[in-house]
Amino acid sequence: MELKDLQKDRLDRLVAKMKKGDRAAAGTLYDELAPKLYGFIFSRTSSREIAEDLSQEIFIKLIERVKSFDDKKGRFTVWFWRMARNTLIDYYRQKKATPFSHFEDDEVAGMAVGEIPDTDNVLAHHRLRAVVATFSREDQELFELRFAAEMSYKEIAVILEKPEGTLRVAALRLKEKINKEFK
Amino acid sequence: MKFFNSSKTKKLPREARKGLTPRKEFLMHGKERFLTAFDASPLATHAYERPPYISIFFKTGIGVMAALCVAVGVSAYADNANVAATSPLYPLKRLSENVQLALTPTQGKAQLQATFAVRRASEIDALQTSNPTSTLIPQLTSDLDQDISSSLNVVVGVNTNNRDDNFGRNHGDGNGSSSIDTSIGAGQASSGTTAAVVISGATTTENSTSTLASTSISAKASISITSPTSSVNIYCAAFNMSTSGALFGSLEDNLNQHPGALVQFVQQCSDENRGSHYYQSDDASTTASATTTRRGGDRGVQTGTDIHSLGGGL
Repeated sequence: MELKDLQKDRLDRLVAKMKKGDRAAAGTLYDELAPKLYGFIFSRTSSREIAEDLSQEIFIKLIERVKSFDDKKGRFTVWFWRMARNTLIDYYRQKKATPFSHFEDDEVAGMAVGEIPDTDNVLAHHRLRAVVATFSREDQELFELRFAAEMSYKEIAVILEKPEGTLRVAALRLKEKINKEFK
Repeated sequence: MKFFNSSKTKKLPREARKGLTPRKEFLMHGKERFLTAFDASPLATHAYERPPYISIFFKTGIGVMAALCVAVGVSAYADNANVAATSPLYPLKRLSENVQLALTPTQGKAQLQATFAVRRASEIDALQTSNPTSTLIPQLTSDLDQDISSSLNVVVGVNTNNRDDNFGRNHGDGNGSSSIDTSIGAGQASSGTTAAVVISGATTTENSTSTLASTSISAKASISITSPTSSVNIYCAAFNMSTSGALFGSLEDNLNQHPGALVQFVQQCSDENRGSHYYQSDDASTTASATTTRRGGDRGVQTGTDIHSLGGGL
């Protein structure tokens, strides 16, 4: 069994406890998922505020809907990230916001660093955004799920309804491009 | 190796990840808001959060209690059903007996051990019928001897201080054959309980050196107690069954260790063995009637003589 499988099993156990009202388990689940969820949304929106707001909104949905999660029907991670992705899609439908690669550089910089700019993070975000902007729409989504949300290929295959092997090859290709930029 | 490769392919370069890292303040405040919402949700409304260690102790405790309940239940069954020595439940029966013995006050131990002695005798009889070469027989014989010995120790002490036990007996016809049909009737014990012992023996052996464990009772007779009884009744009756009076070695030893009790025992039992059909204790309010029918003649004189000789230099 791989580490990621153990990790997923751990998340399943945490969510089971959370459903029973275990506050500590809920807190641990937040610690595990919040950074990845933020990265997933931020990579799409390039907006710190939007990423934070949507992250918070998704966690509130988690509390509201976790009772409906049935571990016999699938893994929690798939259920959670499907909910996150749908929330993001709904956001774009309602706001008609601009996807990641369509923001202007200055705008991205302002959103990314907030009131107290972190120069390193801003520069990193600029460079990453530049690479991701060259990806196709499908590759951008794969990038978000694989490298921002850090999902397994098996889980991404369920969400995107694509063969696991195809996703694996595509993700490696994307990573080579990113590595080349950050050498 | 797949494990490491998988991690490497998932992670972006450190520099690239910086571009997706959230603010610490966001994570901190976001968690507070999340937990506040959680606390207000139906999930937490009726939830009781047990500390992990209590949960572990609780589960362990439940497991231990369940195991104990099963063990006690099976032991009680084995005890009530009086399972045979060859039964897989027999060790539990013995365990149950030991527990009963440990929980019984001193005054009642003799009664209980006498009951157990009867059980052992019955078990030995059953084994000798079904499997005479069974290796369990020597062990059970030893247990029987110990039960009798322990019981006698207690009985002797009790009777030294409580002389109002009385006995009513019906003996066999004592026709001199090796077959004895003996029954002991009811009597009022000092505790107010009715004592009644029935001893029905198939055969006794004319062996002056025999012991209760090896021949007189366990091997040759079956004993059943039909109601609460006095242990002394058993020993007296068993004693009377012997034609020699030297019924078992342990009896001699125990009586010799308790001279006062010996006098009482001899008085009680020898009255019977002398052919008395009626025994009256020192306490006139506690009397019992008895009839004696003995096959094969009256052996009481011989037995009585032997009983008195047990006292040695007393």
